[in-house]
Amino acid sequence: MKKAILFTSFCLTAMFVSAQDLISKIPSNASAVVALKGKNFTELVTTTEFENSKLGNLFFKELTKKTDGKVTNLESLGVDVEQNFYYFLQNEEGSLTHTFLVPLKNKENIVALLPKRTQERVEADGNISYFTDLYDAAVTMWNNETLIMVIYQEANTYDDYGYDDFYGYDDYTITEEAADAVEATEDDMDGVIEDVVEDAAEVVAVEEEIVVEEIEDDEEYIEETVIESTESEYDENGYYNEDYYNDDYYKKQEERRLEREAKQEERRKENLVTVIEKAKSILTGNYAQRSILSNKDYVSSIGSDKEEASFWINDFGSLYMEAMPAIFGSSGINNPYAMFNFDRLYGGMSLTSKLNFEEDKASMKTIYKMNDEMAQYHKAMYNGKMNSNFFKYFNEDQIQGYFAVNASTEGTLKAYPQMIDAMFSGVEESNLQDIVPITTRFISLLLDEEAIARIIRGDMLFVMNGIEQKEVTYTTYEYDENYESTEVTKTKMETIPNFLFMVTSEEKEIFDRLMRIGAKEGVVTFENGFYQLNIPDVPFSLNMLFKGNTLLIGNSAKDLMAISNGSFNAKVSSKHKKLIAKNSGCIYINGKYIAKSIPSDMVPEAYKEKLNYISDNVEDIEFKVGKMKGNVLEGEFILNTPKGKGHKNSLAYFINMIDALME
Amino acid sequence: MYRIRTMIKKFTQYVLLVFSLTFCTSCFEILEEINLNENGSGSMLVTFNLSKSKTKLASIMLLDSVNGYKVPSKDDINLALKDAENHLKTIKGITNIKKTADYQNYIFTLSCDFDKVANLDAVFQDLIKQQNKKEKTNFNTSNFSYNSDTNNFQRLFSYDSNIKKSFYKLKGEDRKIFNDASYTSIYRFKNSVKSVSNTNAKVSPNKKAVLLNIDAMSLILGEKSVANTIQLSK
Repeated sequence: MKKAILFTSFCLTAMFVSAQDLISKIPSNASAVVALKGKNFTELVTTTEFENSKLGNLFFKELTKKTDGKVTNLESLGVDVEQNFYYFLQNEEGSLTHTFLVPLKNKENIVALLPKRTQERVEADGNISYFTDLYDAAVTMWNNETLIMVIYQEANTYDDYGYDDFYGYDDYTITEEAADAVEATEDDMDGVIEDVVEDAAEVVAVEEEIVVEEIEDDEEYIEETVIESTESEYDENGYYNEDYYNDDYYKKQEERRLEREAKQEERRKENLVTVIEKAKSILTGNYAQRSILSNKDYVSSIGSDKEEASFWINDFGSLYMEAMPAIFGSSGINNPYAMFNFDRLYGGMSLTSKLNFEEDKASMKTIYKMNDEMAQYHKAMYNGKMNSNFFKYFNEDQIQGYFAVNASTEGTLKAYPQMIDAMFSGVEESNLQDIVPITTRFISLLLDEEAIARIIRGDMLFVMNGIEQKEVTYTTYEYDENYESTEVTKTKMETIPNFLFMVTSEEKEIFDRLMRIGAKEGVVTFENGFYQLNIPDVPFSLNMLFKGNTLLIGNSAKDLMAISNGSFNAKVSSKHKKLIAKNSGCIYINGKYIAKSIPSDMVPEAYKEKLNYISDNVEDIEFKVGKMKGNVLEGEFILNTPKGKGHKNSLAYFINMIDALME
Repeated sequence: MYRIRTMIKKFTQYVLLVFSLTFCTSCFEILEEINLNENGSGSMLVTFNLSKSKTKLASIMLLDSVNGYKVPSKDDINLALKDAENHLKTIKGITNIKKTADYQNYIFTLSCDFDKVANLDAVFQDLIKQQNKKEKTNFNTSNFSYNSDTNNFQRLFSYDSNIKKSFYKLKGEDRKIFNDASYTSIYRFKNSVKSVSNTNAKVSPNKKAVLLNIDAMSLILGEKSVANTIQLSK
């Protein structure tokens, strides 16, 4: 396996570097990489095809307007859309560097798009040009082939109060010193009070009161004096104190403010120099063997070069821990996740997403690789076994869509408390590291996981079984010949969706007892082999049946009757069987069936043509989350596209659909 | 058992909601009935009947808002009816005020007796004045008049093109609400009806009642009017 990865890595490196792909500029220690494969996009839909589409027309119309006519097509944009675009994130000593890499075709066109003011700020260094933004520590730099934008996000150095001699808005040290003085005085006085009270223990009560009172007065006096000296621009009534700007306190603060601003300016300049140097090294450099393509994790995660876009983030836990100072400050006081043991939950986690436009489908695959501990919990929770009886009540010819969950109630009830314990382990704040395990232990003791799993095993399937016209009643008025009105009940047909919900359960007895209570209370009726529950305000009754190890709840009496007497016409292909049973969860939408089943009299005339186009061109949509394989959980969203409808691939399909709907 | 029923009810209503917001059309009817005595006193009953949309309404009532509009809760509706009742109580000559709210069928009524037709005007006058001020419309603040000397009853209404403008400001989906909506007025008299000015109005065979049924769209677009002058015999 390792050899295969190394070989793939070598092939990819050789391929990319030889083609001078910008990926060679991404260092191997990048924490996150986003790639937009212009080459792959333009192989699916050429630039001319895009420009000629209605979407392209609209896009360029807007762009032309916004650029005062400078951009009229992709060519005039100056960017080489047939090459790959990248973004990467570097995390070094808590500081984050964001870099965007854009392949250029014609740098003059890009420069022409810059506002005149920015153009005047452009500096040249050999064949490199750039302009900077001091405040944001950002540089935009380009040569003949590449434009890069580097933004530097420095680690915050806030102290615990969020104020320091660099970022502070005001100097509170004086106030703090005074507050400390008060505290110290209070402590001292407490000692004095204690001593005095102890000494006075033998003195008569009246004398004791006097002594304590005197000491308290003294304490109050000292406190007031110290606090007064620290008050600033507002008087005791909260009114503005005009003398504030004239006193020494203000002058001192002003001096410190200027000092801070000078320091900040100096730091920004230093940062900018660093960013410029970094940008130059990225632009002119070529990491070759040290590029991200030498990073085994990246190469094994991304794999082939077929996708049109990809997103990769390496070791989310470490990135978070290292980036935390840049986001929330070094103390982490503002960090909302500070009360969780983030590393235990997300340490070693990586995430890869790939967008693929294939000939007959568009897909977005996300691979979530977790650490051993999390993988163990997830395995327990998703170790479900889909009830094969569900397929006896499933007819794929009449489904609009379904939603399936294949979890394990027992596994979840056992793993969840452990996961919660792990989440708070080592969190000293509010004694969470001890309180949480006590709570979860109590809950575990109270719950009988196996018994609960007998009631609901964890696998369930919700199926939308088409739509049906059902008769519903409504109230209106009739008038006699003298126009005296009478309230009458009439009926009308309403389109109602049919659904069937299936849950695996071993506790038929509980169900029977519940239904018996319902029947006695007059809420439930038993007819045609199943129970019926009439719900006010709902235009159908809810039918319930327990068959084998399955509880079935649905609104179609016809279906429930057929299931009850064993005449239900089931039909399931391996495609649906696999989707439902082999995944932890899935959603399926039969787009074509839905579009076709909308009654035409419900669709306004203006939309009929569009709806016809949609129903003719739409296929099914799938979303699935697979079972845990090792430490990997994989999710995929798939949009299938129709064959033989003139769409050369799924990207062209999107553009064609948008074009058709824009008409 | 009640909890389970409530849970199941909510679940099914949510399923319906997703569906009904997409497919179900809405409709409602407003019924305005006035029984007028010879001396100009009488009774009025206004009915808002949303029964035909009850499936959709039951689902919508689960939401806080639909298409950006706040969905009133039962408490909000009851409060509005109570406000209307309290408003009627402040008007001189209006008595026997009654209100009903049927949330099974979504039918709401408000009825009262009046000493003279002029009292009826006062019922809506404040509301119309507020509407005119707020939306800069120009609806006449007088809606009903009765001249006992000439036995002439009038339902007054002047169309304001702002109605059409406001309607077209609504989103396409929201406009559909009015597609199947209707307004019906029935005026019953002790004396016989000699003539009616509104060509859409029908006089009953016994000549003691006038019925006018207009679809909401015609009213909104100004194609039809509720205005009517009814001449009664002496």
